[in-house]
Amino acid sequence: MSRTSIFVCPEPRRPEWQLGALPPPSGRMTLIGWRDEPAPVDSGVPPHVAAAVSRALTSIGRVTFLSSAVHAATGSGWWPLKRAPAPAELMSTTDPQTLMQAFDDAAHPWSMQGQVLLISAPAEAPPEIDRKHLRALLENEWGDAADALSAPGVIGVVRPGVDGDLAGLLTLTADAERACLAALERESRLASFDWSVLTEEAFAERYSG
Amino acid sequence: MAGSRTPTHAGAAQGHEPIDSGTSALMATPAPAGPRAHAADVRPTIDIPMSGGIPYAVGQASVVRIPIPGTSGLAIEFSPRGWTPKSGSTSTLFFQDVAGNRHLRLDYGYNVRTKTIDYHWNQKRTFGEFGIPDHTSAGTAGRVAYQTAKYFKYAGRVLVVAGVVIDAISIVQASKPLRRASQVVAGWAAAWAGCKLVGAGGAALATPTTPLGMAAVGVGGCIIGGIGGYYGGSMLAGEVYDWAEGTFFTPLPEATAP
Repeated sequence: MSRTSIFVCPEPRRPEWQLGALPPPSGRMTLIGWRDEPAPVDSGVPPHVAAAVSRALTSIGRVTFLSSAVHAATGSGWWPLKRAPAPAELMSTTDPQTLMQAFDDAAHPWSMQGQVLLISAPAEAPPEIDRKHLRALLENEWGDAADALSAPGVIGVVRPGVDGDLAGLLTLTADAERACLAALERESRLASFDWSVLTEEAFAERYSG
Repeated sequence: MAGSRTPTHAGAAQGHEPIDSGTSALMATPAPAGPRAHAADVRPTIDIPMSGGIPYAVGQASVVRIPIPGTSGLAIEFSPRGWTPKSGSTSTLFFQDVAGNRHLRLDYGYNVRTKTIDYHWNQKRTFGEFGIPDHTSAGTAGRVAYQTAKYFKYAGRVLVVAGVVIDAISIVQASKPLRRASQVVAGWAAAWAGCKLVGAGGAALATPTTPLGMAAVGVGGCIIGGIGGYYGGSMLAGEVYDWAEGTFFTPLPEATAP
């Protein structure tokens, strides 16, 4: 019988998560982890976990992410952003089904830490972010770049951690942190997943146990 | 004193150092003149242009996608598809399709399963081909392969550039630059084709359950095929050029129709 759990760890400190310098210079970091039993053979986020996380994030705001599924010339509201080796466009959505694409886009591979999700207020237009800042969010020093995102209306940033096995949720306000964690817990329980808040040691233990 | 001789000086311009009998002076003497070359004796040297074939063919294995037959489009590569951070990927050897949707990669870093930093495999949608689940430790062989791939990726690019430079110089220095240019371009194209062909053959020979062996044989085949292709292509292009250069077409005389 399969069993899925989602677990979070507030204020991590360890460098092995590959989420840059911890704690971040501003905001609060929370690790989001998941585990399927039996363990899947493929890397990345299992589809049912991606669906629950997508529902949670879109329930609190608009989510903007890197996408190779659209091209700037084909519609409005896209920000063309070219960066070798693949064309990169930003997709902004409040639809959880659309957001699931973010976890399985080969041009912006989640499992190789090539993706970033920006959470902003749902009623607002997508955040205006320039190429330089977006690139910086994909590098090790992304915490510094995230600090400048509050001006364009971003309240949280989600980035994949080491090998895409976990995610780092950086919230820029206390309200955003509470809302994100509440939404994740709610959607986990609705999907009949186990939900827990763990210490960093216990978080690491959940993967190896 | 019996056997002794009066000390003398070793050359007029040298220091006045007394020497014993039996000691030979070590001094520069003018070399004997060589045979005079007469105009009639001058023979032309054989014109063998230098070639960048070997560095080019060896180096191109680091940049060419080496196909793996029977895997629905997977190929051996040393760089990832899709986005790569400025600091570079933590993986060095890839078996992936052209989009990167399916991949098996040799990675170094924190392994959440073992809770250690180790060499391990990460894979997505290639379990059917290789039978290796995500996060499988790669062991000592993996460490050697990781480091080899890491340095070969960069050394290969240097070799490609060196090969291109040597070939460019050979064109400039050639007595028939156009002929040499034809040889070089044909050599590059045939090297690419030979790499793909023999590399794919090598990869097919290795069993799919040993990706490291497959990479070694595939890359080795690519190098061998590349060298053979380069020199074969160059030789053929030279022959074609010589044939075309020495062939003249003369118009037939007009004759009235019967």
